[in-house]
Order: sequence, then C-alpha cells, then structure tokens
Amino acid sequence: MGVIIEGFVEASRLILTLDPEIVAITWLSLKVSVSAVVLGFILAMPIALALSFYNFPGKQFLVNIVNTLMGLPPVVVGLFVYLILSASGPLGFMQLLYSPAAMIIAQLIIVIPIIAAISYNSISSLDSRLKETAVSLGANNLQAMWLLIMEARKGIVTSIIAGFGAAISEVGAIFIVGGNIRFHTRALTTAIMLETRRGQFELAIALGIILLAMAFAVNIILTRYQARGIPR
Amino acid sequence: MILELKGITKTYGQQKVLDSVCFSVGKPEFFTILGPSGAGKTTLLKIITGFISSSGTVHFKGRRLNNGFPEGMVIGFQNPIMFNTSVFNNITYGLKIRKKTSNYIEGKLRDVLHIVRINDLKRNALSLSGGEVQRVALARLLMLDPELILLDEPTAHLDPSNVGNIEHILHKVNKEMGKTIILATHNINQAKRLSDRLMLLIDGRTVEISDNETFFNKPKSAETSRFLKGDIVW
Repeated sequence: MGVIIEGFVEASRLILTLDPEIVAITWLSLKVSVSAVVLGFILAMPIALALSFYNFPGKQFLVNIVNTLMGLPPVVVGLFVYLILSASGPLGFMQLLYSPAAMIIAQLIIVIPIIAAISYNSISSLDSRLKETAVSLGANNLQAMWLLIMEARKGIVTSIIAGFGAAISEVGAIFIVGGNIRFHTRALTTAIMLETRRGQFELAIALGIILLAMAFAVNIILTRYQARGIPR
Repeated sequence: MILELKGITKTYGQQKVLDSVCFSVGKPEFFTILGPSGAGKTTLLKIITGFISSSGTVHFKGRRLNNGFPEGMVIGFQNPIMFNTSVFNNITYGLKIRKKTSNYIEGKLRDVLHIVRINDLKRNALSLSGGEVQRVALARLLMLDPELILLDEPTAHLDPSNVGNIEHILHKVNKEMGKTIILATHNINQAKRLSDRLMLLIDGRTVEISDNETFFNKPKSAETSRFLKGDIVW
C-alpha cells in the first residue's frame, strides 16, 4: 500500500514540475495518436460514405471485412507494419522504422476500420426518408449526402472517440514499430510497460494518470461537441 | 393546366398497383386523390415527383418530366421527417441550399409564419409534437414558393384539433396564396371539406373524377356511392 501511496505522491510531483521526460512522452503520444485519428478520419470517411450511399457488387463482403478489421489485433498490425518498413521490406528504403511516422502508420491501420465501421453504421441506420425529404426540398446528391452526414454526426463523433481511445491506449503495435526509444519513440503506454517492469512505479503511475486524464479530456471535448451539435 | 398524367401504370412483380391512371389539375385547384389504404395514392404521388419510375407520362407546366425532382413542385410526406436541428434550420433548409440571401429568407419566413403559425424557431425540431411537425413541414414547403404542393395524408395521425388547424392552413394556402394542392387521403370528410375536384382511386384504378358537388351528391359511379356509404371495406 505504501508503495502505491508513495508512487502517487511522486507521480504528482513529476506532473506538477513538468518533468522533461514526462512532457516529451506525453507530447509524442498525443502527436502520434491525434495524427493517426485525423488521417484515419480522412481515409475512413470515403469508405463509410461509399458503403452508405452506393450499391456495388461485393458491398456486403466489404462491410464484413471492415467490421472484422475493427477487432484487428494490434500486435499483428505491428508485425505487418514492421515487415513492410524493415530494411528488407517493400518500403524499407523510406527508413521509417523506429520513428514516430511508423507509429502513426501502425495506429492508422487500427483506427481506419473503427471510424469507417461506426460511421457507416450511423449513416446507414438513418431513416431512408431523410434523403427523400432533402431531395424533395431541392437538394442535389451532394447536398443530400451532406445532410445525412450531419444527421449521423453523433455516431461519427462516437467513431472518432472510439478511434482515439484505441490509438492512445495501444501498446503492441507501436512498441514493435517504434522500438520505445527514449526521447524519440517512447509513448505513454510503452513507457508505462517499461517503467513497471523496471520497478519505477512512481513514473509509471504518473504516466498512467496522464494517459487517463488525456483520454478523459478528449472524450469530454468530443462528447460536448456531440451533444451540442454542429451548426448548419 | 399545371399537371397532366396520362396512362400511369406501375407494376411490382405480378401485381399492378396503378392501372392507366389519367388526370389533369388546373391552377389553382384543390384536387384530392381519395382512396382506401393500399389504393396506390402514395405510389402515384411518388411517380409524379420522380421518386418512382412508371410507364405513362407526367407533364408539369406543359413540360414532360423524365427524371429528377421538378422545380416548382413540392411534396409533403405522411410522417414528415424533421432534421436534427432547430425549427428555423428546418424551415429555411430549401432556401439555404439554393444560396438565397438572408434578407430574402427572412422576408419569405415572415410571409410563411403569417400563414403557418409557429412560435419557437430555436427549438430542436425533433422535440415537436405531431401537429407541430406537420406545420413545420408545411412551412418548409411553402418557403420554396411552389406552384404545386403534393400532400400525402398530412393529417393521418393527428388529433381533431390539429386536423382542423392543418385544414385551415391548407385552405388559406390554396384560396389566399393561390397554390395548387393535390391531397392524397383516405378521409372522406376531409376530402369533402377541402376539395374542388376529386378522384376516387381503388386498387390502382381510377373509379371517378368529379367536382366536389357531383362526387358527394350525384356520383357518376355506383362504386363511388358504395365507397361513400362505407360499403367498400378495406
């Protein structure tokens, strides 16, 4: 019990004094996860929109694939990205392995199916008469599509929250492709794992508190945005 | 003549839901398509607006309609869908997507709210009652200054007081604003109260097209008489 209390006290001190290592780890985690979510959103939305608005051969198969990929094991993603980016891999010449960019790529692969699947489900579960109503009021296809996106905004924001949650809490993939290098690719989750193993509980607790606080803060911001709605 | 339908036939598989329906509507007429549930009224309105394809021709203001929603015509659905935003945004949606200026929108809004009384424009439209939804839906259509308004059972799920309100609005829109209205309903009394002319549609067939006086007092068809007496059960 004493270790835990001491850990929390020391963790509070490290956070309040803005310990340079903690700041660097936090900043990297935030940078990597936000980048992955932003890029993931940009790449996932066309998939969600194509599945929602168009009928094409193999659509149901693609929906099944996207849904299945939501449960993609991160270590498998890490292994896959490692093989692609390693010196002997097809993109080895880019020398991205053990860099923040590699970590973003790994998280991106995890985030895309989550955002695409949840957004698709939100849009496709809307009342089909919404589009008819928009068209009857003079909307063209693009305007009707935009209206449906606005109507599904709560689900779309949920997909971003879920994507960010998956990215920020991810360990296996970024450990494999990032290498957990101090002041370079050490993220909150990989650092917690390392410090716990080394018995440096105060640092691990401090990082844990920051990770939770960050996840909580992002959720609060997005949930408020979700509840308030987007002005049109 | 603002609208003319010739030989409208629609088949789903083996089932013919509309069989050579023909009629025309003048301006500014209140024309009612009366018929029991499943007669093909909604399908007919959706064919006029281009949501459903069919054989036969539809001419609007002398021009044949092929595909796409025609400008100058609007449709109100049985259970109107409100967008998840304010009443104001719902009512002004059609003009906003047409990039009308805020001055123009405000002017139109004043005119429309004078007819369709709506107080709280800031309220979220999803929190409206059934009667309020119908009024907002009507206002949304009137904002576009249409020449022809198609309405599919606009009072089907409303209480008598709201039915009275909506009928009063429709009467004003037709007689004071000069808008042509085509109403699809199964409500015989409503049809009698509002219509200049009526068409009785049963099982996709045109049974009779007459003016109000003839239809209700001296129907040409025995089937119309039986329908009005309630002898045709659906």
